[in-house]
Amino acid sequence: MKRIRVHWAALLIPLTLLAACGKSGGGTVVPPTPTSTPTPPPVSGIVGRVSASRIKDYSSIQQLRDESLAVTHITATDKQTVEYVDNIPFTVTVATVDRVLRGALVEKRIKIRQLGDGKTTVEDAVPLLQPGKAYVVFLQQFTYGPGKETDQYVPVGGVGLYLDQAGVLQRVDPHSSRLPATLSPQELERQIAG
Amino acid sequence: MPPAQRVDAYTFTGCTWPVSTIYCQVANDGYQQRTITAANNWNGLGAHTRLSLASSIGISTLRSDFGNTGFDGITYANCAGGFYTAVTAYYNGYYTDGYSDPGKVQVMVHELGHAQGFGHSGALPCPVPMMYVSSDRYFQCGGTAPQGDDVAGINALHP
Repeated sequence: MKRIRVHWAALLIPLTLLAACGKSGGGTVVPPTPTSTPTPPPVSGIVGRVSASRIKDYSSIQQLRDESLAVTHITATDKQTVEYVDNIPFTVTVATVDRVLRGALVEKRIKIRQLGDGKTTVEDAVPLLQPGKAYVVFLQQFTYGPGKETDQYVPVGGVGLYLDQAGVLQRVDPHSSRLPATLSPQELERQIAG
Repeated sequence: MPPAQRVDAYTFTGCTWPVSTIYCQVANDGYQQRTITAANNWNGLGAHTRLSLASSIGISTLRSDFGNTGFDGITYANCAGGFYTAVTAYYNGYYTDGYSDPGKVQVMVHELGHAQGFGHSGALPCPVPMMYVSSDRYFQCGGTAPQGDDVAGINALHP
């Protein structure tokens, strides 16, 4: 009698994928609104993974500056929440604004949105803000489009972020290799001037 | 003479499909033709892997709106025991609504690469694989279809 070997994971596919495909059955896709949602319950043995395409490479501090609303020195607090849009996790970190280095920003505390939740594997992720650590951030207002602005901010391109390590600014994103890996605060101020 | 395409730089996510015919459900959301073109760009390689558009189960593709987070395409995958159990590949309409047709296609070619098990690969200057991490693969290098390194990768994924 012929034996048919089927990997156990393959048995999961029809059940799981039928559920996954149900939401794409046609019709208009309504843009999501920025809402906080609880962490989905983990399913035993199944691991979520996120991969993403960046809009472009950034190659200079001036480029980050030109696309930013403000360049600020901030300190991340331990107040972090995770918001999901179509299963994709985004961490929103509350940060205190220490100094505004360039541009106009009146808030003393701001919310910064980043891809990932610290648990789901995100390929080539930009590390999340760490509570208590100080950063220089090139900020954009977070928006879903014209008229859909929110009270959150994002680092320019998701990558406009430098860690202030005892007076040395270190690029947070390991993959933006065309941006300076380190620079001094004086060099930063020189490059964002103008 | 153009510079030689770097080869054998492809990477894998560590998760793939246990079958070589992967079903792909394309949402009727205004991006349908671009997604079909993207799938056909993978299918035209003569590889063993095939993205079949004839079924309602498999990879889901659709437009969403993740805002100006810096990402124009995002793929979410569930993986169990080294095999995908569900994959959804998204256009981030915040950016891609303003892209040309080839610009949209190249995003989905990239995301469908992730959906098959590819990680990122390559480095500027051009040429770069379609699995290059940013859309400079198209906006700087003009790529809209799998390149030599992507082809080598898909053949390695399903020999």
